[in-house]
Amino acid sequence: MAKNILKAIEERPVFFDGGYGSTFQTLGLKAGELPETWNVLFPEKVKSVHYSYLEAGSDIIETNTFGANPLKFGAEGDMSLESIVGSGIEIVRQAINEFEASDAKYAGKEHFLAVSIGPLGKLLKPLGDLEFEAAVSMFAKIVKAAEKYGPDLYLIETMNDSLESKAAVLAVKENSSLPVFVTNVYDESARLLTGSTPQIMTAMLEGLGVDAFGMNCSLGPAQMKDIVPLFNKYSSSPIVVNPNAGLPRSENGMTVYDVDPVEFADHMESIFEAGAHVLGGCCGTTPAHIREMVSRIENRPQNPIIKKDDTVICSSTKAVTFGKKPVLIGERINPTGKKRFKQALRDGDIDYIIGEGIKQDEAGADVLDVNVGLPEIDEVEMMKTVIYELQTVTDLPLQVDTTDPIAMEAALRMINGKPMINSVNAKEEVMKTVFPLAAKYGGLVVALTIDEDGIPETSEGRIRLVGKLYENAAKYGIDKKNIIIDPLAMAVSSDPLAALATLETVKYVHEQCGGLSSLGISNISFGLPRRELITAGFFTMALQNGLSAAIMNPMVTEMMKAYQVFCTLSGYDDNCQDYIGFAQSLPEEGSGVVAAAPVKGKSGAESADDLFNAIVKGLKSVSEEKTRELLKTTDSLTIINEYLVPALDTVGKGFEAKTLFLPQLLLSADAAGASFAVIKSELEKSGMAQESKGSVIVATVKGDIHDIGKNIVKVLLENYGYTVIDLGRDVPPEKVVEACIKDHIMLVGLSALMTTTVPAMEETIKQLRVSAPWAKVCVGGAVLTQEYADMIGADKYAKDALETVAYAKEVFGK
Amino acid sequence: MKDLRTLHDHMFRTEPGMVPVIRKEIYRYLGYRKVSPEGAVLEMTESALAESIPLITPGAICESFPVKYESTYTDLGFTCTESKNIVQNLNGSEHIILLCATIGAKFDRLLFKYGKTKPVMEAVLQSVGAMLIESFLDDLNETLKKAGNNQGLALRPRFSPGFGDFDLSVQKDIFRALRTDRIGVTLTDSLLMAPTKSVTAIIGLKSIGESDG
Repeated sequence: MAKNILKAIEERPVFFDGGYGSTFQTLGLKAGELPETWNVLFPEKVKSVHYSYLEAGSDIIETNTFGANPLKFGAEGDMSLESIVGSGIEIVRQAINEFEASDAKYAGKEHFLAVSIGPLGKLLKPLGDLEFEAAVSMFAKIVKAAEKYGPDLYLIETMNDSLESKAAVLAVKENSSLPVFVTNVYDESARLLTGSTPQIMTAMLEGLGVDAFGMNCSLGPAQMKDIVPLFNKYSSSPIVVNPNAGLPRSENGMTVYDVDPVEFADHMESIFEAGAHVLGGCCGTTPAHIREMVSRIENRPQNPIIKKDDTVICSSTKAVTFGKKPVLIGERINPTGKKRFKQALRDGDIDYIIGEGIKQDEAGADVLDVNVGLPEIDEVEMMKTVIYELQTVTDLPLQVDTTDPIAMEAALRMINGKPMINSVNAKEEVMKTVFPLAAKYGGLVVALTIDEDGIPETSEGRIRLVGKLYENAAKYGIDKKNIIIDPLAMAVSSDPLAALATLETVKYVHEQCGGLSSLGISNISFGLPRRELITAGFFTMALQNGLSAAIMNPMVTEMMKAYQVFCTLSGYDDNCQDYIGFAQSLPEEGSGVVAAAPVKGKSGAESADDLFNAIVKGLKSVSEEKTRELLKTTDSLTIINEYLVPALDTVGKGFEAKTLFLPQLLLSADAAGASFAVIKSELEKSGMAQESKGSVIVATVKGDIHDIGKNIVKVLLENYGYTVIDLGRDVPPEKVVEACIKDHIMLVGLSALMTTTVPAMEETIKQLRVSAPWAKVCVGGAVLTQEYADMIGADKYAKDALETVAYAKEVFGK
Repeated sequence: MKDLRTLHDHMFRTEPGMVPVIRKEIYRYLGYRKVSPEGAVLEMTESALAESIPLITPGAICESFPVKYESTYTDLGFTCTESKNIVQNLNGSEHIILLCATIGAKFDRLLFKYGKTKPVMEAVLQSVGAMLIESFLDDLNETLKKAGNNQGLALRPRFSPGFGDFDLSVQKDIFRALRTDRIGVTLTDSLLMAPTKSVTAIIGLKSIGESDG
């Protein structure tokens, strides 16, 4: 009979082993020597440590493969990754076999072999330079090697980053059917170095189908004790706790830890009592620590593993809970019916798309829906780009909104957190496509009450489909708590009973099923005048009937009014604080748009007599106002030439003379940008387009992750009327060349901050000279000098952003 | 603190609120010389500080090594270098402390966010971050200096890879020797540190009494 670690955990407390480093040191491991090499060099020594943990009472023995990854070990030779991992497994297996044979009383006891997988030692993008899929394939190499040697489970441990944890889990799941455990490194504030909490990791790891998880390393048992309840509150899975023996300190050139076996066991008893199911040790713990712990806990009844009903979705830093206060899902990242958004998709104007996300975040959305489908674009690539960029600028969890299963899977793979999936419906084909993806990657699935026969007109018809959706989800192992029913709002203008059918279904889901529901609210008012009145009224009614979430526009005041009033009257607003803040932020009667939240100390007190001074002083809202006033009497070109450009030039001169400084330069640029935006929208209304002076590519070169300089150049170029194609940071030469050829761009600005990335700049220039010889290249950045620029063959060295603008004038002749 | 000459695997962490905030330094990084910003820039600096400080996770690792001076190169214990500037900086020190410090990855997320949305705030945050990591390091340096002085050791000024002829390629050796991933600091393929507000440095240790100028 195959051994079953998960069954063992249900039945009794289960024990991991402890630390290896300090014992290896006493056996002769030198500083800087990779401990994994001992699997090949000194297998007997490694085995002796495993054996001592078996004697101490450990049920699970970890292989000595923590640092065995493709960045440290190659594919060939005695010290290949496979030989390190394979011998690591064989050594543990031998230790277990010898131990079980050593005494008849051990023969019936189950022992398990866990392959230890540690972090790769590189940060994933955007924080570092490692691609997510590259990380997945590196972890996959470890798993593929291990599978040949028959381990019992995988332990992904000491992970600082939620995204790297996910990469490792996917690698295990895609190459093995064995159980997988994950332990992360929390600090004393109960967060990972990248900011995730136990609640977030629980949502994410359970979504990915991890069998047990918890924490290890960094903290001692005393500190971890306080974090265990945070897992217990949210987790429906076994909790693993492997602390260090206190905090490290050095003594005679050796790292030592303060917590002795008795104190360790005292704390571990408390940790067990707080609800942990699997216990062991990390750095500094020894067989003596484990023995003392095991003897205290082994005969106690295991903690029950309690299923939790909470529905939680998350980004890597923010969790959103459903079923309590209604959740607002921002609908604006969607091309349907939006000319400007469609244009942005066609032009690859990612900044506009991301901007829509940021605006909704600021307006109070809890989740962002992401729909970038347009027949003429590559939806999969666009989806990947937008998800990546959104994840770098917002903490909000995302809702993947697509009918293309390939785009859906691409998004689900790379999302750092647990997303919403929009959507599945009751059609067999769709369920067969979407449910397996949801089961693999995790997520809260929006389930529409629609099947092969269309949308049932009555609530009875929709309720029937609700049952079908829940049943089918269950077949794929998806809990009801991870399904959110969308009973579909239809236009009341075409069917007077449309709203009621929807509301009755919402009520049924809430009251009879104890389930969640979501609606795209605005459909209800289609075809009617002053739509926001009907939409907002319907929104309130749906909330009162138990609606859990709404896909809506958080920038529409009527909707936010309805939402805020509902929350305040439904007990979600202590002391009416949220309502008061909201009421104060409302604009004057009738303007229809929510004012930006009042910013402390905003420059309201400051003023300027005209647009020129407003820009020089960097007053954004005053500049907008003055521009609007001027447009009544003055044509746009005159405003640009007589106010905007001279103001920017004045600020530029002040900057060069060091009477004005960088932030002021940027504030003025911001104000000028706001003024331009007013002019541009006026021109568009009148059917004219503002003529661009020319298009410029800007990029921070490959290998460089600093982009402040490039961002400043971009802002200034835009303000002087140039179109800027921003390729971002860490841009490979090929991408610059491709963009340059695509639109026959005349000017390319390259930035590099570090000496180590100057060669990448040189390579980019070299490739441009071959494939886009017409383009002029302007370089800048902290390490560059005129000499460097000449050496790598640039056309121009610009010492700051203003010099780049001056050069653009030269190149484009205006 | 233990003898600085045999410091091993010394981890140093501090609460975000304990890192001294030196506004003058932020202004200096922003380019202000002799004058201080006012109005909107001042407000932005305060809001950048308020937003960053709860997010930083200051941490450092130190390890000491004996130094050997050979004719053409210097053996720093974890690597060998031909840097002349190092020889000048160490000024005959018998040992060095090798260190890596960071204010953490969460701060970078803030930078990326404002880089996309509000470049002026990104610029202010860059300066706030530079001040915070330097200030944290100065504090750490002060602790080490006190310990050193008690042990009859003087500390030489901090010296980082990339200064003068101390080549950046040494970063790889530093990261291996310190196992910096324990405080979440990693090296990109182009030898940049991630998180960005991180520093590696060596500090020479010299017995007091031997002439040190």
